[in-house]
Amino acid sequence: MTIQELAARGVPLVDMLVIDAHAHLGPFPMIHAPHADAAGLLTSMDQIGVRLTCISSSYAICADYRRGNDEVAAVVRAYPDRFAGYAVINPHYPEDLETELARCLDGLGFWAVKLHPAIHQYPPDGPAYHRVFAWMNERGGVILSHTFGDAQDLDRLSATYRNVVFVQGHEAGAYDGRTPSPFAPLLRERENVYLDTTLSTVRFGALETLVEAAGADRLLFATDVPFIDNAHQLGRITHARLSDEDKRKILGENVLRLIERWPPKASRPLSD
Amino acid sequence: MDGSNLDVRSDDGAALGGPAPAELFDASCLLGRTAVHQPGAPTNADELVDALRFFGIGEALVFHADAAEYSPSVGNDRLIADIAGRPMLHPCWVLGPHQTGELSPPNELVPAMIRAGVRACRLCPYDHRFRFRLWNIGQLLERLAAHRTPVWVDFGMRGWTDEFVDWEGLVEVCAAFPHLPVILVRTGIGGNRRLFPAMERCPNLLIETSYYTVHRGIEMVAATFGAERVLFGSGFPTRAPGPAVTALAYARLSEADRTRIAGGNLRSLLHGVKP
Repeated sequence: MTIQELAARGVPLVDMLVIDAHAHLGPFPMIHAPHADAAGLLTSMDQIGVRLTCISSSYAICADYRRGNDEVAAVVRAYPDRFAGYAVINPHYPEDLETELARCLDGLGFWAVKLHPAIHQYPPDGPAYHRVFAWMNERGGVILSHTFGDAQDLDRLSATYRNVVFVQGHEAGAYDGRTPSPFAPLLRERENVYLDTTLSTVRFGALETLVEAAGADRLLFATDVPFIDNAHQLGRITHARLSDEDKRKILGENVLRLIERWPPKASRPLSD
Repeated sequence: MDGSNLDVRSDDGAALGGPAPAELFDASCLLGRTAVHQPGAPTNADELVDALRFFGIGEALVFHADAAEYSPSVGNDRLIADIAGRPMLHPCWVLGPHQTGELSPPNELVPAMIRAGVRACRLCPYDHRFRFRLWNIGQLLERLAAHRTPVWVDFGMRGWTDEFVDWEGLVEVCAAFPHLPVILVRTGIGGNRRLFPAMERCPNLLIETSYYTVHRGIEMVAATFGAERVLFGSGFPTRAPGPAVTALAYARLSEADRTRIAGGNLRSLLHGVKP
């Protein structure tokens, strides 16, 4: 059966590697996000066959970043083969910035960093964020941001910090498919730029157009669960008019390259 | 592997297998050329039928782009002509207030619509600039309620942060016409804290799933209010149908409830229209 046929019947995609590269833990003030704890996430992950979900804490994004990061650390410790943690860094506490990065990435076993310039109302290339980029560039690693700005911003950042992989959240999901994506040249030419696929609205034909322009190697399956249903977001990939080879890349193989290069200290290898 | 023999169960016994494609009856589908066109989207009935089959959708309730984006009277007439001879496509007219003379009075329009074989209608209060309130659209709704004709209400939600849904109007209309099925179109993650109280208060308020992206939301609505309150809808071809298909296929539902949502509920609504 094809991936589309399996998904249409609700069969868990356990015969391939499905990794959710952008998800959260905990409730969210603006929306009702049911089943937002680890147990609730695991239930829907098992239902659709997600092997690993990369989570950041809603608590850390919306209010107390330390407590929120601690919550994620506890979940990753409890389920090291099912969750990988993003450390949320809040730029409004610059005195704690490098300390929190080290606490999370060196001490608590987080695998990457999550930034949210929109909720934090902070410019994507503001000075505090450049300290994060520099710290991560020193050690190498992945930063997922709700946005790094437009394609020119991302071009500049990814050229400056070559040892950082920049994952632009929602960008592949937000692409409308009707006009050329300004991110396509970056995806073709810059090895440290990725886009993730999550957005509540799924426009017909957009993902196919993006893959045609930029290939499938730099796109990461992402759901934003529990803010958005992960089964819903899966359909963006499974039912796209793409080859199963491209779907497998997007669903898990692409992010696996990053995880293998910078394995989360708290997790067991996915090949176990 | 032969998919027809799949019998996949979760640990607690809940069925995981989705409905066979022919069972899906899309409650929210558009036919025709739109002002903003998605790449590869069908623009005529033959292309639409082929595309729906590709996505495993056996039947669809369709309204015409001309009716929604140009003129209801023009688009509704064209819809009947365009879907003639295609039994998998079922007509849904776009209606609105009659007082301006753009549409016939409800006592003429609704019986004529039903005689034409149209058993569903859609209102677009946001895009067509009227209020979903009794003072504005009450006469039409009264006539529709008398015929038990289900009404899809599309408040023009593009994204989850849009605050276009007139919740007060919805509750007012549902309370005034308790036998009128009202289907809220494209309610999303931003609306749940108003949707649930509204559904609790209004047994005749239903949702379609084209934008209902709440985590495990379909099963939650089905468990809280009953599976008969949920209709599978894709939003195709503006939206990709895949997400609505997989959201239903993977929802933790009994097969009976999944079948209801996939198409049984919509068939019941259409069959329930009184001549």
